[in-house]
Amino acid sequence: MLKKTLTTIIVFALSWLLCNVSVAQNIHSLNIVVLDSNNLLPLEAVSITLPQYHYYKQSNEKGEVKIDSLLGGWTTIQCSFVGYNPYTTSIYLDKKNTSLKILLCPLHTHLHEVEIFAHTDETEGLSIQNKNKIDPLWIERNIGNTITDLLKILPGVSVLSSGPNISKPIIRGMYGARLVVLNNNIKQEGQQWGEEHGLEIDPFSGTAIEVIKGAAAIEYGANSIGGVIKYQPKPFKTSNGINGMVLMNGATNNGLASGSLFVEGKSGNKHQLSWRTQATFRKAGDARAADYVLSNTAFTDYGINYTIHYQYKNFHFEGSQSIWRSSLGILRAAHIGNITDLYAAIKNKQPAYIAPFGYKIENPKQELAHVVSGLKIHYELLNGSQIVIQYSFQDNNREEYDRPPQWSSSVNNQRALYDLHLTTSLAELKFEHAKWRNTKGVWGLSWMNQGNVSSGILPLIPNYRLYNSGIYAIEKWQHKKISAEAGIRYDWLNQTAYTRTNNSIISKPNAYAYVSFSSGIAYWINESLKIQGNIASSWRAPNMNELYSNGLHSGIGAYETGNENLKTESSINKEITFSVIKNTWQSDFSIFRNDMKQYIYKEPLAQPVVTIRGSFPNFVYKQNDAVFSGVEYSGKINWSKSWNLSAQAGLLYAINADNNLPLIFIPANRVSLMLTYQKEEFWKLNDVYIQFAPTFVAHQSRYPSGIDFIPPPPAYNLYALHFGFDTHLKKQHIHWNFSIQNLLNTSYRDYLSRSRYFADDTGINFILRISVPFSIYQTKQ
Amino acid sequence: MIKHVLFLASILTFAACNKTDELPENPKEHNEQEMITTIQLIGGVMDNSNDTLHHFTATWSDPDGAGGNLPTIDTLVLDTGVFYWVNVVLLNTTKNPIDTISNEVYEERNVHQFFYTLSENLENKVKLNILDFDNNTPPLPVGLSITLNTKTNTTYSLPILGSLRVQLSHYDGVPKTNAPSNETDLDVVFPVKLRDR
Repeated sequence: MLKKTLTTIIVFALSWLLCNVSVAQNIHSLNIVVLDSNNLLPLEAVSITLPQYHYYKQSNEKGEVKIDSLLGGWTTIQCSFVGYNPYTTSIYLDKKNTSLKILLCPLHTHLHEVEIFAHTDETEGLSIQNKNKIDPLWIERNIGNTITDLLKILPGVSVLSSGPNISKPIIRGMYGARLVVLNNNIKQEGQQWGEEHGLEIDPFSGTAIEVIKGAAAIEYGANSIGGVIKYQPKPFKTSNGINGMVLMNGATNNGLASGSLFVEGKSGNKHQLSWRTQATFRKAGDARAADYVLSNTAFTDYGINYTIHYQYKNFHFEGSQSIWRSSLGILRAAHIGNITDLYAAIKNKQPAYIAPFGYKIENPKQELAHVVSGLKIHYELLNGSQIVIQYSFQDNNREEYDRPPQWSSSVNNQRALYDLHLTTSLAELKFEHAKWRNTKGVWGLSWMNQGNVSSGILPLIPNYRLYNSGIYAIEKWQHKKISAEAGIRYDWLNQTAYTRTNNSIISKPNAYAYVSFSSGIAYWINESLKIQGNIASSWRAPNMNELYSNGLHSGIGAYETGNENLKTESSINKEITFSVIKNTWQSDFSIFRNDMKQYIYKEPLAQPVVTIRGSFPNFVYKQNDAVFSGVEYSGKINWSKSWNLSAQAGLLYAINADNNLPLIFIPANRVSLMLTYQKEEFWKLNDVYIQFAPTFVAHQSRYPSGIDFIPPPPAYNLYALHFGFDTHLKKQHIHWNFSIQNLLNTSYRDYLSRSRYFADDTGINFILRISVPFSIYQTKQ
Repeated sequence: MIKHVLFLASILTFAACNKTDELPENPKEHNEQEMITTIQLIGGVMDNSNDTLHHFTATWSDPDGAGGNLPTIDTLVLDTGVFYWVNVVLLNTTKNPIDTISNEVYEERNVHQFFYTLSENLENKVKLNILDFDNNTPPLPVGLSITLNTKTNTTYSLPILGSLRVQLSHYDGVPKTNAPSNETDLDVVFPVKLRDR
């Protein structure tokens, strides 16, 4: 990743010091001093990141950072500090000790250039698992895109969508209850199991996204069987002052208008008080496919969040709250009566109901509200160890409205078909011990109490109470060119379903206990080639819908029957990754195999369910062993300072191990490319870039026949164009980013779009994003 | 808008009040649904009101809705040489008092239509006609009242076991036509026994 700077940054001195005592080769240390380029005073708390090593550190009061145990060769150093232009450089380490002096140039109102990483996460650098970080510049340039949309640039990530406004990520074929999403280090607890349930998170609130593919249960607990997505807000300001950013988006396809105001501040030196707050509003009308309006796919949402952070010496306290509320229209044509209607809809080339474009949201629709409150205490011990205590409370309300039958009385038309109210308390205690004999580690305890209340017309899932407790330890050892990691976790999970029949309450308790483990090893073969392997196990208790759902699923003509006999599902994920990091190019290649024991899926019975509305296929939850395996590639070439090309590819094969048949709804193989041309200055514009990004999605030829209503759709190619620049009007910087998605206005249907039975995916879309940073006041340190 | 303001206010005060009916341990019963549980075909004789021998009521009912217990389905027994007049009654028996949904379908007849399909082996033996029409221009059939005519000149061996499929289409936001809509409210099959008078 090459991050260029806006104004000239001077590497003031680059002095190489030869150490006479040569104990071991290839082990290097780096001493960095960061100074203000105007007054040459040292800068404290500058973020220094070595992305190859997943290394992050802040400079001390003398502006110094000392980094040991580097392997030599080309090393990329990223340096960022609020109020200054960030700086990225690559140096060749061939001496034992290297000193580097970096001068940072203050930028006053020019705040956006700061490189932001998820360094608020204390376990950073501890895991050898396959971690993928999205380029922060990509997030910044596409701010306002949903998390799912941003994640698409990673290999192995695809999208499960229900119409243009509801989507969730799929990692290596796993989605929903098999993934954990961490928003600001708090596990997001909504009704994730639902295929048509999106993520209830403000898309303007994050500046860093990281994905861990494969089982990651040690740190994140059960359910992280398929991976973890970490969504992080901007780190707190490190210099005193108040500043912020106004973000505005507009799009032509659905008439989107959205805006977000972000303000952050810091005051005090001994008693430091930092805070940030953000308010977002988005409103969009019906989306358009290439040839017609996707009626009733409008949405409106808004959110407010704030976080306060107080620091006194080694003591940190953080309190946060966030609210997110959405109204999402569901494609009107997807409302059907029975299976005959579904086949009629499939036969029609166009949806049965097409109305002129509008912003109105009618039934069927979803009304969602998600509220998170969190408290965190963090204490750094004198020896470098730290203790973290975190507590959070979440309230998730999901109301789904169907189109009522015409005869129903008016009062009941207003009642939600499904009304699920989920409350979750999470508590966590972590102890991270300082390096001791080359070993670092985390020991922790976690606890969760979750309750669900179903009060709609239909009980989609029953009421339930869930308790989960976990205890874990991870240790990472690093010596010379090798690092190794091992972790173990034990979990207890207790969930009880409550239903009422004939005025008596029936409770069905289920208890589970499970051990998860992970281990990994990374080895630098030479200065530019790294090989790493890991094996991890994870597990998940069957979900309430898998155990007890019993009813017709609106939107898709299917009856779902739960299976009370389902057992725990578990996974053993094995993976090898080869990484090459050269000066002008880099490549990552992974091979993985995920063996799932008792993988839970649904399959229709031969006998349909006969109802007064006609017959429906009866999908019953089953479990069998399954194998998910695949390869992933990502790479980048920098031909020159201006031109670079990046490529991502993901291939996935999933089979039911019992009958060797392919599993259903496995994302098709895909390849995406991005050609970038960038220039620091062009005419009166700065930071100019233009990107051409084709995506090739194959036809999914591996599917079990006779289960889905139609076979997977044909292959498709999409082309996108992105360009942007910065302007300076007087002293005000403005960042302009434009995107054209589906450039050729292609009609296509994706295999994992649940609306593909009824309508095409969205057509061409012109998007404009404007970011205006501002500063209310700024004090020099 | 007021709803949203109240929502925000309730959040900002951080009121985590747990009402008893909001506890998972105290579930509610989900029974009252807007649904059709029962369809009845109530027949009489068109051209002879004194002929009570040929009155019938054939019922297709599934009171516990989709899934659960299997529906109970009567066989529609027709005699040859009779001109039947049939009224269709739709009920929701989960409501107290029982909700007669066919009345509401009649109210909304401009956006509803019944479709009747006889099995092939009955096609030339039973003639089906829809009697009632809506207020569209031109008027389109509704199908709450139909006739079944088993008077024919041809001879054939009896009894014949066939079927009658009854579908109710709802035209929600789409113009009503002579073809079924994409939104079916009801779709049932009655076994039919055509026997000698």
